[in-house]
Amino acid sequence: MDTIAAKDNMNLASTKPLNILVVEDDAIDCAGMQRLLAGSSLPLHDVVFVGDLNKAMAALADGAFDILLLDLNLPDSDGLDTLIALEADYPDVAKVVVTGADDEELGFRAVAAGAQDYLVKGRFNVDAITRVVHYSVERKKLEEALRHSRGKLNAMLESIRDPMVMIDKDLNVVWSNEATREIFGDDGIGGRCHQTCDGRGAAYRALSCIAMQTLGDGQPHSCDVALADEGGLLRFFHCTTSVALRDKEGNPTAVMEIAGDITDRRIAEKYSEFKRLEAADHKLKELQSHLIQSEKLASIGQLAAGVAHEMNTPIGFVACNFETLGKHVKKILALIDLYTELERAVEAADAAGGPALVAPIRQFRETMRIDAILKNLDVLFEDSREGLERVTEIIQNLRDFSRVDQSSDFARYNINEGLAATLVVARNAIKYNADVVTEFGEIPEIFCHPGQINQVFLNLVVNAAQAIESQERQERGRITIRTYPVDSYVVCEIEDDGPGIAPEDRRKVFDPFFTTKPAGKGTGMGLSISYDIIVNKHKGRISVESEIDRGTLFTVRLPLQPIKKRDEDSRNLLTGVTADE
Amino acid sequence: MNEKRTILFVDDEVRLLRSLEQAMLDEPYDTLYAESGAEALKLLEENEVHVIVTDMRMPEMSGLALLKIVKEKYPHIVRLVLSGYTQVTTLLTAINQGEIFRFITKPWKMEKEFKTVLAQAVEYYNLQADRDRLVVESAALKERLVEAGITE
Repeated sequence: MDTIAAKDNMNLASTKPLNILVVEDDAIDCAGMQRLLAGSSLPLHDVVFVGDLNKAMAALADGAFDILLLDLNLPDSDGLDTLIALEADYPDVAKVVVTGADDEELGFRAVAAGAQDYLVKGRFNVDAITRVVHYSVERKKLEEALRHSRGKLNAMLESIRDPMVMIDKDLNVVWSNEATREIFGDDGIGGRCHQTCDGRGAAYRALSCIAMQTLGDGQPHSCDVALADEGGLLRFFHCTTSVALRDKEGNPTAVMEIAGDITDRRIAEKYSEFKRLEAADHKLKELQSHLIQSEKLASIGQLAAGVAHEMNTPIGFVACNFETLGKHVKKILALIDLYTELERAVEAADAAGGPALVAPIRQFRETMRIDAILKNLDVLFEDSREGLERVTEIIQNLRDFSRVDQSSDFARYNINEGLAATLVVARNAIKYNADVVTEFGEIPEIFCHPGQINQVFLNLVVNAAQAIESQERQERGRITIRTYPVDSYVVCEIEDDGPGIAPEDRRKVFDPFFTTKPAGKGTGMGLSISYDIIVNKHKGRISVESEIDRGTLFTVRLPLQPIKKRDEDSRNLLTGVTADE
Repeated sequence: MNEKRTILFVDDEVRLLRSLEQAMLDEPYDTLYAESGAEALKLLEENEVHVIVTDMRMPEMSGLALLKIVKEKYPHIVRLVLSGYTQVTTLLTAINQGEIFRFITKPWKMEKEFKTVLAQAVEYYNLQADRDRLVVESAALKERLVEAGITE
């Protein structure tokens, strides 16, 4: 804008010879005018005289004039109408009105209607006309330059596609651009800005009104707002305000508010947010299914614990009786041996009908297959004893599995130590079949139940060794144990190069009583107990990856953070013992 | 040689008591059996008992309540628990309040575990008794020595 003005100013400064059109129907006046012009210091190029409006129009249409010296009372037009007609068609030509001596007021009115100046007939001389013409031409050029740059400015403002409004210090909308009208169907001018917004669904809040803030502190402010457009559709705008006008003291008197339409961006944001939520929802559902799984296991655990406790007493006395029975039977067998000797002695005596006495005993012995029974008694007892032992083990495992029996001695523990200790314990189970590679990382201590955690490690390591053993292969297997920290977790991986787990079994490995080991070798409780210990008691995670004939990888993730509930339990135990009766 | 010791078993399950009775036939102890805490206390009044083995969870009087009374009235009796409940809280309570000698869990192994523990309990009782006797004897001896003017 400044550049344009500067350029136009330079044009003004030039002393280009002037083309002057004199519109005057009085020949004497014309002659006087010509004489004055000729005598002036004005650089003249051409001076044309016409006698009426039509001829003036024609002359203007023909050539470019810099200035009109205009008598308003012409044969074909009268008064201000003459000026108005010419101003309408040739606004860029400077106009000086020449009025009669008795009508100076007309001159004022002519200036108000667009003339640059006026001359009163018979009262002006060479100096006056020189000054007036010069001044009027320059002023017209300035006005034109101003009009031009204002037009450009306006075009620029109107070309902005974001609604813009100017708001005065009483919060009235004093100006708005084309985009405002296009989007809202209303320029809002004359109304108060918050009333306009209120009508469009935005709640007006005095405290957060950015126009008020800018009026108050003179700083730019911005906010996001949702407004209904002309069609009632909600659109999102990012509005910024800045000071447009200031008073003499520098206090803001008007602000410009620009409302950038961010509806598309909002939609994009909402969409990505939706996508994010969708992903989160998906994750949640996955988590939920995990949760259901662990809940299932927990309730199985509770049930199992209840059953185990109920079974303790009967199994206790059955097992005890069985042991006693074994001892009793041994004694009875010894007695039978004595009787058998007596039997033979009686038979051999052959007196007093010995054989006849023995015959029914013999017959009973044979019918009832007593010899076979006695021969098998040992096996029968041994098998039953082992069965009872197995039941006892299952009950103990079930009890360990339960939450009821959970121990509360949580402590700070470095699981690297736990793994080292576990490997010592498990050495016997591993040494014939596999080598162990340890890759222990620098890990922080965790708050856990060391005994339970070691039980899990033992389980996993022994499982790995047994899996390798089950392949009956030539070369030795390999068990790799890694530990490393991740965020707020400590991770332990136990990997073997054994037979792997079939895909259909992978989901079931943590289920109670699920086992692929030969009958009598596993109770199917090891991994479900491990799951319970890691997931329920330590709020960690245990997962399995496996590939047939390539091996299996168990990953245990344990949180560093202590479990608050446990903390309390431990405290209760230390401070006051609560009887469990 | 110490005289024959008496063990009292307490459990609300009569089959369990019968089972123990059978198992204890060959053992060198006199045995008593009670189906409740009240019955146990009655037997304790009528007999000299050296070791008590009780269940924890029983109707009316719990094993813990019984052990507390026993500890107070018969402090020399060695107290054992035979229970299926292995919660840490239960164990701690029994140990801290009942001052028990051993806690045996159900189901138990008769030969390898139970009888060993009983033998230990009896031995513990005997040692206690010996110590008490020796304390008394040494006191008496000392008295006699003083009387005889050998020491002051």
